[in-house]
Amino acid sequence: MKISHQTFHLSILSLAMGLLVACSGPQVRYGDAKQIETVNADYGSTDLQMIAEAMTRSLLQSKAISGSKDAPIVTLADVKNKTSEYIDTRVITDKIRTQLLKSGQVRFAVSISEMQNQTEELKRQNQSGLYKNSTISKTGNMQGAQYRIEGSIASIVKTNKDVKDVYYVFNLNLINNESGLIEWADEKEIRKTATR
Amino acid sequence: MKKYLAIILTALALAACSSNPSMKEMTVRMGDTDSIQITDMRSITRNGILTAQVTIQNDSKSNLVAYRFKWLGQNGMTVTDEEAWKPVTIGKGQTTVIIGIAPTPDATDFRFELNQYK
Repeated sequence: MKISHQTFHLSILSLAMGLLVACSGPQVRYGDAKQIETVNADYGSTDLQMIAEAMTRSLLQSKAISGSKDAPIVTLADVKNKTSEYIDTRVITDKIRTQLLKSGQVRFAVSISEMQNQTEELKRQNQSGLYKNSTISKTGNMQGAQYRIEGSIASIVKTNKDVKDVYYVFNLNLINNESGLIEWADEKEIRKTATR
Repeated sequence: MKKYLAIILTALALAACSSNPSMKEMTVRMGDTDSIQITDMRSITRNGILTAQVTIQNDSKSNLVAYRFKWLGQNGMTVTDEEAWKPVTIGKGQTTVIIGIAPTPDATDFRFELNQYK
């Protein structure tokens, strides 16, 4: 009788413990943003970082950038996503642009997607009649880009019941806007295999 | 005998004077990377940008390691924030050449960081 009483108490205690564990939420930790991410074989943060870094470094060393006397003016054009996945290619180009700007070797003109804000600001200053004339940013003084950066990302995906193999190839070109010549091009290949 | 002693002493003095850090000093290891050997390390300034080349060799079974470069400028200050870790798969007995390009022309020196990757 005594033993069964003890067992009863123990079972109540373990039940309470179990409830407490179930009630406590998920454990949250801050991780290293630069760490290698291998949750699955889909496009991820490590791919983004590797692509942006490889392209920036290669571009910085190119004759078109390092050979010019003053920092050339470049603009961002499209990077086409030819993969079957959803990839925000704008994040890749923005990362490349940030890293290039930080190097101090390149200047960037606003891209097509930022043009709306640029023209609206100029209109507001010039047409609203609210601003002191000497402080207005005049129209007709924007600088045209000497080069534009465009490219593509493509993938080959193969799967069977045990293995998923993904191959990405990212291609980037620096094109001279006036002559239409491709002054620099590079590619970054990435292979990822997920096995069960 | 005296001649040999003089030669040895001069060699030692020269070795002590050279300020270039060794390959071991330029490598930072994290985790279990003992099976990875660094067989060569060199750098060159190409178009005004420092370019480093590191040759690594794997002695154990197929291994996954991650690497990154740390770029140093004047007074040993890092020129940018930390690079992302880059995975490299290297089979048994394989030798791989890793090339790193500095992010800015300010970089004058580098460190090679090697890490285990699960």
